[in-house]
Amino acid sequence: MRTQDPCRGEVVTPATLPPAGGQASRRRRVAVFCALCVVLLSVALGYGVQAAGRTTRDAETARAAAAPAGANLGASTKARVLFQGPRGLSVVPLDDPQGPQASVPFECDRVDFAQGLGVCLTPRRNIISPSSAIIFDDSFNVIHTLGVPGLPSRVRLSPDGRWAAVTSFVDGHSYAAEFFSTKTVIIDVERGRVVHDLERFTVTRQGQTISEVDFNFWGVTFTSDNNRFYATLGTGGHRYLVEGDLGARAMKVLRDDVECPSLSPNGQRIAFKRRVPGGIGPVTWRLSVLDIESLRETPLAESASVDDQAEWLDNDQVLYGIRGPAQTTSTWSTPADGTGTPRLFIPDASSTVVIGE
Amino acid sequence: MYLSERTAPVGDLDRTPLTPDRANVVGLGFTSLFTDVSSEMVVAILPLYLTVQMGLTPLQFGAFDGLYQAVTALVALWGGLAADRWRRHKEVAGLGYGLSAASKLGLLASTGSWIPTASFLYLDRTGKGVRTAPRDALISLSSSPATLAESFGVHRALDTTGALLGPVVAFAILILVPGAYDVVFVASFCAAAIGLAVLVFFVKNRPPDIAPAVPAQRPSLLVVILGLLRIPRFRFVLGVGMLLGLLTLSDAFVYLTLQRRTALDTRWFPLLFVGTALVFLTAAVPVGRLADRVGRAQVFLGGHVLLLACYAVLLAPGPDLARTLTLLSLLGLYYAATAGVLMAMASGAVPVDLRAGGLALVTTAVAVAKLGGSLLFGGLWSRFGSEMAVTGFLLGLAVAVAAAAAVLARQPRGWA
Repeated sequence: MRTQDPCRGEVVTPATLPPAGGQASRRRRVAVFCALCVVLLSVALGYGVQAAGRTTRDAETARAAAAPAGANLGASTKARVLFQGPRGLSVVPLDDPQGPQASVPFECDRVDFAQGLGVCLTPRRNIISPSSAIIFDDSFNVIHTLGVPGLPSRVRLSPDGRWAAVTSFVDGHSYAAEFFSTKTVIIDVERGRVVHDLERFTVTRQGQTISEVDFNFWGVTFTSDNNRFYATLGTGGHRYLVEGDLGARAMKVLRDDVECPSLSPNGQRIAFKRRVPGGIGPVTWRLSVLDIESLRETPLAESASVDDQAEWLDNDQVLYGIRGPAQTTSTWSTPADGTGTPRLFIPDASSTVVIGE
Repeated sequence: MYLSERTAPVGDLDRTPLTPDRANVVGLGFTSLFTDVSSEMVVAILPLYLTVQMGLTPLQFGAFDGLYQAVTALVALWGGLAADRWRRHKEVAGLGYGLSAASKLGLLASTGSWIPTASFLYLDRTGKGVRTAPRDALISLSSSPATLAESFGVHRALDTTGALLGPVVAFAILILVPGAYDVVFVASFCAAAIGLAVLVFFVKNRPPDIAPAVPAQRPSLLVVILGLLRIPRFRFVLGVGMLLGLLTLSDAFVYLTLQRRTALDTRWFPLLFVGTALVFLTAAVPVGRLADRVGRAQVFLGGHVLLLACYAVLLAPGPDLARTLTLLSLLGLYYAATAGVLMAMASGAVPVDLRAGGLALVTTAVAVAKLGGSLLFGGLWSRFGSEMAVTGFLLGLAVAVAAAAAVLARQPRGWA
């Protein structure tokens, strides 16, 4: 006996004759099931529609309020600070960081700038479109746009502005979740092309070449010769400080538990973050400074958790972002010798870059 | 000459003939379809959700995922045993589906903090563990012995369809309403509820209306396991499943190896899974029919020969696109020839009143073996590199398949 299920349009064939009265009870079951489906689908649709009506943070209104005049980074040789603020990419003079801001309507997760060219990492607008690395000049004209796989994380330019190291979190499917990984590429900024992938570099440790499935690289910082760099290598539960050579496409492991290094302007010290051990829940980090020559580590006066690649204000102070209670980030400064107290540098500012010292 | 299978405790159910019920198998298939849409929706957005909204690091997420798998395995044995004991496969499976549906509401309520979120995700996994063995037992009890593999093929095909639709629905929602993870959770709950409704309204318990086993017939887990191990056919299925599972590379490893040895961009990772799944769901029913005709163990071993071919493709040189497409096809066919067929093999070797527990044991044991295989492969890769690791697995699997075939050849046709 073949019966049509009106809900699914599927033909259902009972293998045996239904018991007496089974026909009516079957129709009843089908009816109740269909009603249930309608209710559930309406709930899902209704909820979705009301969610679409919610106002999400509108970058367009932020852009309307932006004042592009005065935001030309090549206009003067005075030292300035570039950062991502609520009105967009903003610039303030270094000697008046909390003063009036000149902004352009860029929305960057991370930005860096050197020698007339900058790189802005923008997040994806929705799940399908990729993240981007936008290369801009000192008048904020867009020169190149490159696709970045996954979620953008860090960007650092070499001092001569030639190379940009971009790190992103590559997101995979559920089956690949155990291999959630970062991807760090080196971009030729002027030509707007990816030229290196750190995962294809040779890694050595005490002279031996090492290679693991779970290698992840992030947090690149360049030295003044624009060829050597420091970075973080994560593998097997460790986060190593590595020193790399772009030309040789090689890196060597220097030290354990040094994450997101940032080289000081005089090249003598590295600001980094280190995980605070113990406890469950989201990880917290402590900001510290490593003296390259003496290998002495000095924890800095900032006691709050800092999940950031620090930026050097000058050879004696570092800048870093702290997430506040309202989920907005503000930039703070603290002396690099571990003394003093942290001071609010710029409220509502992230990814701070010091330009033109 | 082979030993009699009836050396295990035989209950009254073995003497009750069961008429096959194809509608039940299709009903269970659609339950799984909707449930998979529900869970894969959440799983697809999970990495983004946990890291962007919750602030977890990728490494934390990886640890979380490992524990996730372990919970499923532990709960599975309990689910199988309970279903056998109470003779209520449908109800125990329904409990599992219900837990998973409820967990989606919990996720909706716990935005903002990671501990409740993690707890509800584990609750979802618990539900999955509880329901898998009773559901598979229901499938096997709704088929005639001659159509076991085909029934499992039908179910796995519908199941995989749901798993493919899930991420599509999730991404469609997030495109239409950016950042609205709560809408994804609501939709996920609704899909899970529809899946549970299909089970409640359209799936019948098998065997129907039997009283729960009396205390004398309620053995403990240990007694059940020992009893099952006394059955030669079961020993063969369990042994072959575990041995071959140990030498099986997980999907993620296969794709990772492929990506390392080709110029494949990581952006295409998700599409690899989709490709394999499409081949799997298309081939599941035909290969299941083939297994019923030709012999399930034969097809099971044949599937592992296809896996050997996959390993060879990983090692071979050649154009990237051709290698990728060949690999996806081979892998999809391997799944069609092994996933449901293993359960069909096990069903044929386990008495009716121990069905859910026996299937749970096979599933859990093979999962543990595969975990061991992953660790083994990771270790080999670290010490010797990817090429040596794949070669090692290729040689090991070839030997294992040959050994299993030798054992099988000494038995009469239709033994496994």
